[in-house]
Amino acid sequence: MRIRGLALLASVAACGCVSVETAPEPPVTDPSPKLHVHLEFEGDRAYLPRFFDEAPEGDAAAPTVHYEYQASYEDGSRVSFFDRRHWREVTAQGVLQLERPRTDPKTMIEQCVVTVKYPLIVFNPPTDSDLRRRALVCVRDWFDARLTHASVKTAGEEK
Amino acid sequence: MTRALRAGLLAAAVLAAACAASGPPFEPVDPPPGKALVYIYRPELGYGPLVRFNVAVKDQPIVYVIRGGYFPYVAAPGETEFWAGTEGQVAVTESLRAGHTYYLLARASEGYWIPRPRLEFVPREEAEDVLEGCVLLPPAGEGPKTVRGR
Repeated sequence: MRIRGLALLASVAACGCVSVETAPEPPVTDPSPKLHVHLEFEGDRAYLPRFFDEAPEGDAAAPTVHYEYQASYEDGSRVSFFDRRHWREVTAQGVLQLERPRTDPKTMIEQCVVTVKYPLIVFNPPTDSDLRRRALVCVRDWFDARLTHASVKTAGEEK
Repeated sequence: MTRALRAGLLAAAVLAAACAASGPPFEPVDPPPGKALVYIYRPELGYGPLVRFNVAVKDQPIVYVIRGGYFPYVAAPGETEFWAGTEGQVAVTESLRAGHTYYLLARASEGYWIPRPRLEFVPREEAEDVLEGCVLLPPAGEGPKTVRGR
């Protein structure tokens, strides 16, 4: 009975104390592909900007996209004297190089930081894998937003 | 100092010394063609020396990590999640590339009741010195079945 009471107290204490923040907050993007490209990419397709779709082999007019991503981690045991929570921060970065035939390659970089804060009493806080996934999807969405904006701008200028 | 306290300290020291890994010393290897190599290792010194845990990929335990031990894990390239658990579970994912070598530091960190595992990919420069002093651990193989709770 005492153990159950403690468990209940623990769950009440833990409730709502895990916070996850993403910065900058990822934009809402249209997931439909808009540009056919030759891809040079070794990672997980879930993290590739959805703006791109694979061009047919031999399509000489299609640009080439090189995409790489990485994540790094940092942590601490206390947020502050009054806020005795652990925190963990994952920084994801994507580097995208768009190479159109007969033009100089264009390089773009996007970065997102996901931070989780939790008290020690929480036994299964979001893992590094969860945070990394969230940060890489954020990076992908920022590329999508930026590329969509650039394509709309170019289309407007052409009119 | 009371006799009981002395006995307790002595028992703790003996237990801590007995829990270090034993086996062949570290020997660097190259990743096989088309594969990635992940050194999973645990330093001799650190928090929670008495706590041991399996490091697993999916439901397959790879190695039961003991302080001062390492295991070279040959993996297929691609996104791979490594996880471990005691009172709570931790997991870390890396995009493994063929022909590359990775260093996964496995250690214990502060927990509520017992220490929790902690997994972290570290750069080669950080791992090399510690690995030099590690001994080879056997593969988890016939060890206890690892079932992921999440």
